Amino acid sequence: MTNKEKYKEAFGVLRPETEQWEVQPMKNNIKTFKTKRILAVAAVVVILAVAAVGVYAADVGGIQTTVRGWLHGAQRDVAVSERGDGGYDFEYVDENGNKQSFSGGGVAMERNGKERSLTAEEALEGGGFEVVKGDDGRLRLYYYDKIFDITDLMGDNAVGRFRFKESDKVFARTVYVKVEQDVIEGELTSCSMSTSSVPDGSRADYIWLDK
Amino acid sequence: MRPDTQVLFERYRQNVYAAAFSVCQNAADAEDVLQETFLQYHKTNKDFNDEQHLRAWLLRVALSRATDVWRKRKRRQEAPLDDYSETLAFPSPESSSLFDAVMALPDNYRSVIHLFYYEDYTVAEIAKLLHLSQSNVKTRLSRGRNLLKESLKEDWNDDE
Repeated sequence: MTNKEKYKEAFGVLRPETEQWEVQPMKNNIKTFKTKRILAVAAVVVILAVAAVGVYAADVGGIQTTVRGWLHGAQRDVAVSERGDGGYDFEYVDENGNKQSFSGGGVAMERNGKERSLTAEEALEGGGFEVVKGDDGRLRLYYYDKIFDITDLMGDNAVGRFRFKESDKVFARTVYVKVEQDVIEGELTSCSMSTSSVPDGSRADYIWLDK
Repeated sequence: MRPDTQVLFERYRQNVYAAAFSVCQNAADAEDVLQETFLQYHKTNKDFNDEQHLRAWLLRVALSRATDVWRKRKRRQEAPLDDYSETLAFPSPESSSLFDAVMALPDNYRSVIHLFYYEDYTVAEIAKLLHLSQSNVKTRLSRGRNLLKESLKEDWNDDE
C-alpha cells in the first residue's frame, strides 16, 4: 500500500452526520454564535449575563419560550425553541416586519471545570456584538445598542482594529475590537470579531469609533 | 458552471468535512464548517470555470473557515480533539495510528499534508490553493512526512 492509499483509508472513515443539504436562508444572520460548541469561561458568561440588562423569559406553552435580548443594535423579543441537542432555534420579527430566524447554542465551563449547556438567554446574548455585512454592502459592527459603519475603516489586509468607550452606572471602560474579514477571490466569505478590555498590541493601532 | 447546491453537497460533503476536520480536529466544528462552506456556495454568484475550479474553491473556503475556528479554540486554550476518534471505525490499527499521527502534526503542516495525500493535489496546485509559495509547500510537506515517519516508523513508506 502506498502512503496515499494508507492516508485515504485512514481519513475515509470520517463521515459527516449531515447527509442532506437544506436551504436555510435565514442562516445569513448567523455570524458569531451559530451552532458552535463554544467553550467560554464562567467569567465571560457572567459578564454577558450582566450586560443582558432587561433580558427576561416567559413561558408561552412549554415548547416555545420568548426571551428578550440584543439583536442588530436593538432589543427584541425572540421566540426560542429547544432543539434537543443543546442548541436553540430563534425567531424574531425585524424592523421591516419580516420574520427572521437563526440557531445558536453552546456550552459554558463553570469555575469547577464542569461544562453545562448555555441557556437560551446566554446563547442569544451573542447577538449583542457581531459584524454583519448588510444588503447595501456596508459592513457594520454591532455592540448592543451601538452601531458603527466600519466599511471604510478596514485595513488593507482585511483586518480592522477599533476601540470605543463603554459605560454604565457601574463602570466605564474602553472596548477593543478586532475584526477579521476572510476574502477569497475578491468575495467576502466570512467575518469574525473578538472583543477585549485590553488591546492586542499597541493602543495606537486601534481606531476610535466614537470620538 | 454552477451545479445545484444539493447535488454538490452530495458529491463533496465528505471531502469538505475531512479537510475541515484535518484542521480544526473537532467533529462539531467540522460539521459547522461543512454547513458554512455550502451556505457560502449557495449565496455566491460566482461562476466556476470547471469542476477543478469549483472543488478547489470549496476546499479553500472550508480550510479557511476551519483555520479560523481552530485559531479561536487555540486563543481560548481549548483542547480541540475530543473522544471522536475513538468512535471511528478504522479498518486497521495502522489506520488509527496514521490518523492520530496526522492529528499530532503542527497545524501549518496538516492542511498541506491532507491536500497532497487525500485530495491528490500537486505541490503547485496546493501552493495556488493556499496562496503559499511552492517552496513553502515543499518544506511543509517534507517536514510533515519526516514527522510521520518518525512517529509511524515502518508503517509509513519512504515513497512520496
